[in-house]
Amino acid sequence: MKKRPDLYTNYRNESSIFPTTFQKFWFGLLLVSSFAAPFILSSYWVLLITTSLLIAIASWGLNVVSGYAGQVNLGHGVFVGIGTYVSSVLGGVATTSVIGYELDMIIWLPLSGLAATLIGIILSPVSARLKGLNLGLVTLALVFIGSHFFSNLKFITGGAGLGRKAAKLTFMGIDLEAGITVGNFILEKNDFIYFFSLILCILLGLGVKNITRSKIGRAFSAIRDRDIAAEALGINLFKYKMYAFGISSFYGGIAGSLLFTLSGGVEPGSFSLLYSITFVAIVIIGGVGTVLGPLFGAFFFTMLPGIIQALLHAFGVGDAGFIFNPAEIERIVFAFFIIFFLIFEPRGMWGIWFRLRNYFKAWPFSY
Amino acid sequence: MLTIQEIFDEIKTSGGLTPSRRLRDIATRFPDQVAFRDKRFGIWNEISYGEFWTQVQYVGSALNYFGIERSDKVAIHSENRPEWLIADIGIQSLGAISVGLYPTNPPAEVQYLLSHSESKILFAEDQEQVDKALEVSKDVPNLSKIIYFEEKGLFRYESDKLMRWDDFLDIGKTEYEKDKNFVTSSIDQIKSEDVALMIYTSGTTGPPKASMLSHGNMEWTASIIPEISFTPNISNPEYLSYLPLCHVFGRLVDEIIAINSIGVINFAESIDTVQRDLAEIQPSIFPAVPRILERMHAGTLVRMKDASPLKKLLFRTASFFGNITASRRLENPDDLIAKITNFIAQILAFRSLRKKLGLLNVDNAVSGAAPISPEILRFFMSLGVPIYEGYGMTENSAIATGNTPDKVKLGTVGTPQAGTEIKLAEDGEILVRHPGVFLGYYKNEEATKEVLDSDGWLYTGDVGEYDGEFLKIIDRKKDIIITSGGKNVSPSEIENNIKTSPFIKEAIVIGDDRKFLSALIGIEYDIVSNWALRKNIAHTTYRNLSENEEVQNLIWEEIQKANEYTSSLQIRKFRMLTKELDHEDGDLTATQKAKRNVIMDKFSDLIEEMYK
Repeated sequence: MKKRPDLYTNYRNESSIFPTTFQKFWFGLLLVSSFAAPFILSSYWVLLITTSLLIAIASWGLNVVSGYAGQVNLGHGVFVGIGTYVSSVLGGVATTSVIGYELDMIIWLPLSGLAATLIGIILSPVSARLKGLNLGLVTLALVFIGSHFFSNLKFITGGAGLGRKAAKLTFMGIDLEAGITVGNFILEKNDFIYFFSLILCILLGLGVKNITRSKIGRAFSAIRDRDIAAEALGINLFKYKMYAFGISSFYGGIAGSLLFTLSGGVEPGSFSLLYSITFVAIVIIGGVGTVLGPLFGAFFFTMLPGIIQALLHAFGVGDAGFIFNPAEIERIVFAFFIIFFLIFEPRGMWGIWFRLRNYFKAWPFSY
Repeated sequence: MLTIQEIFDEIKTSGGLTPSRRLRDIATRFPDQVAFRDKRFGIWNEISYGEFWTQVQYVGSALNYFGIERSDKVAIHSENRPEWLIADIGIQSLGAISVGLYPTNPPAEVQYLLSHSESKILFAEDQEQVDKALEVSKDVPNLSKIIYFEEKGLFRYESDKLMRWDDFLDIGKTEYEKDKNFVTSSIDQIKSEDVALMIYTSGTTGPPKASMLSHGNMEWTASIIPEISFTPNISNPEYLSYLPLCHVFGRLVDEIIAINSIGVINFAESIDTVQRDLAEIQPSIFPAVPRILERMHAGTLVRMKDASPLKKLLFRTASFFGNITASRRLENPDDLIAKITNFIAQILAFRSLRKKLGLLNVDNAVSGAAPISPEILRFFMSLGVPIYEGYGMTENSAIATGNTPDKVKLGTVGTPQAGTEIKLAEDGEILVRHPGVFLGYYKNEEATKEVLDSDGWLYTGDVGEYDGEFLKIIDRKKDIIITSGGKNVSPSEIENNIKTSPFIKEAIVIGDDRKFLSALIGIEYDIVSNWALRKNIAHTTYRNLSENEEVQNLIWEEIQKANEYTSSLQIRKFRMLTKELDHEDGDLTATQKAKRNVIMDKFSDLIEEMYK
């Protein structure tokens, strides 16, 4: 261990993401074990973790616009939907009812992000004019407009209740749909999605971290804390709100493009109001305005149903004859957690982690 | 780069060098070695020995350009910063004499010091110091140039005496290009008996006196570095410079010892940030003054009061083991049980506490410049910080005695340093003799004769007890109190016991020719204010808080606690000082020592009230 961990002779060291070897070591270990996961865990867990990672990416997006830049957005699910359909159209198979171009992933992945970004940027001037509750209402309207388009653009989405198949997984000309055998292991399609999600999660996670410690991130925080003061400091509100919406939608689009390839198909009804609100909940439970928070929140959200199911099973409740069915109990518990976190731990799960860390950091003092 | 052992061996074989010669030597051998770290905008900027030496040469050449010759005086009036040492060594390298002023010196004192020392050029830190110098410049005819380090607020000043540090260095650079060997050759001409520095003693009575220290004094001091009480065990020479460089203790550590040991000198941002800077630097050698240690001790105790019950319990457990460590180590430094108890205490709480205090890497710490309460030292020993009291004064280059890890006795100032002779005069006054004893007071033959006899003995003015091994200081000779009952009392011992309380910042014991002892108390405002807030005691100002009845009760309890430790007479009454003591008001010396006679005069009504 370094003898003088807090001695910085340049700004590069001071703002580094992993200032100590200790942190580098644990991050490295986490990376290695993450890449080894599909070889160890069952496909059920791989599926859950992949979903968590992708939802985390989408939540990061919402966190950029709401947590950092302070712009209420209740329609984040729409951008995820845009990403999903762009990838489905570009990468999916054409049928009699829907179009599809069966392109390579290397094309549809970035394009689905960029398409969402484009829509985000087009919508961003609204946020320059409105703020707070009014902006919230407009973004709420976005959900309904989105739903309308998704249901009615049948040649793209397949129409309400029917849906369509998601993009095909072809990477650099290699068809991954059927899986590949590596030694004794068979890597299935979902394992590959897992690897892609993991890599994207690392890159985009570092991306968020870097945004927060850059000029753009500081501008976002300034706007969040007081837009008038930020403007007085010379921050171009219009420009930075546009950045915030653009970055946010990019994350949503990327996450959306892979999220539904997991299950293989997508139905327009998925992108309902509840879906958008889920992301708000994840960010709140995880920790608003933090990098790790959405990651915690996403895992929590994805794992919660499984945990509840297991608990219900263990205690024998939730079987036929009980007032609530398991899905309802899930929703009640989730709602309860949102209320609990808003009242008792506004900084979310990250707040708990932060306090735990500080408890030991401040040792033997309390502050 | 050399290891610290190799550096010490080198000093042992080739002797100590005066800082300018040592710097030249290092800069040619290890030009890339880091000399300074200076914190600006949150980042410690590094300056190498090569760069240090280059700038010293520019300063020397520029001073020569402005007509500074051998034995001319040049003053520096600044907080500690790299420019301080660069200017200081630049001055010394010409054979000129460097005079340091305290940043807190008010204009009247600046005027006295500049005219008494006949300084021709002044290095001033910033607008504040420039203003003081300009204010008195008409009374200081010798002063021809003022060079300032910080430009802020000064660009519209119109005085032909003023000059920017960078412009000054530019002149130096041009001059240096004309004669590259000028500074090197003038360093070669320096003789050991030449005066290098004049250090003004803070003077609790009368105007300050200028002690002249020679290059020879510094050479001798440097030569005993390997044996000096506070260098054994240090693993790497990393220093934090926060003691004022114009004081002999700061100069000894940050210039003579640091440069001779090829150390890294880190400059604290300011005196208020010392705690945070310490935690970042984690120095390996830590010279402290009692005030800093008292503040660390008080701060720790107060913050522990706010800790959660579990942490409090662990801290108490750790303190229990720590106390065993301290007691056993005082008996035997290599005690095995002490090692075990220390290990337990470190794991429970003290390792992290030391890290927060910035004492984690401290291999050796010394407390000097003023008496310290043994309770405070014990506290740090129980933390596992090897801290020992030393004794020295300006007139003997701050070298006389010191406790060492192997030879320590609380309540004493230790055993004589290498090459130092100690003896007591008939009246108990401590006499010191070694080659580091100063040349005399500048322009004050009379005072010189009082402290230096023909055999080279220095009369320190301190009364003590000496058993041939450990020296114990009783008090300043002129401070000893004789009560009307005829009992001799050392006020500083009682004062230090009282000041162990985290709530008390100042204590002045009174009782000369009186029936009993009393004290004037100044509270530690932040801590008492914090205490009052928790007790729901409304308060506004320092005076208002001091005069609060509950605060007075608290202070009385603290005094009674101190009374239990005191071997001589007890404090029977006390009064609160109604204002915070301050250097600018003349209550404190520049080194924050209370000026007893000034305070007794100022608060005579409070004192008389107690003896009615």
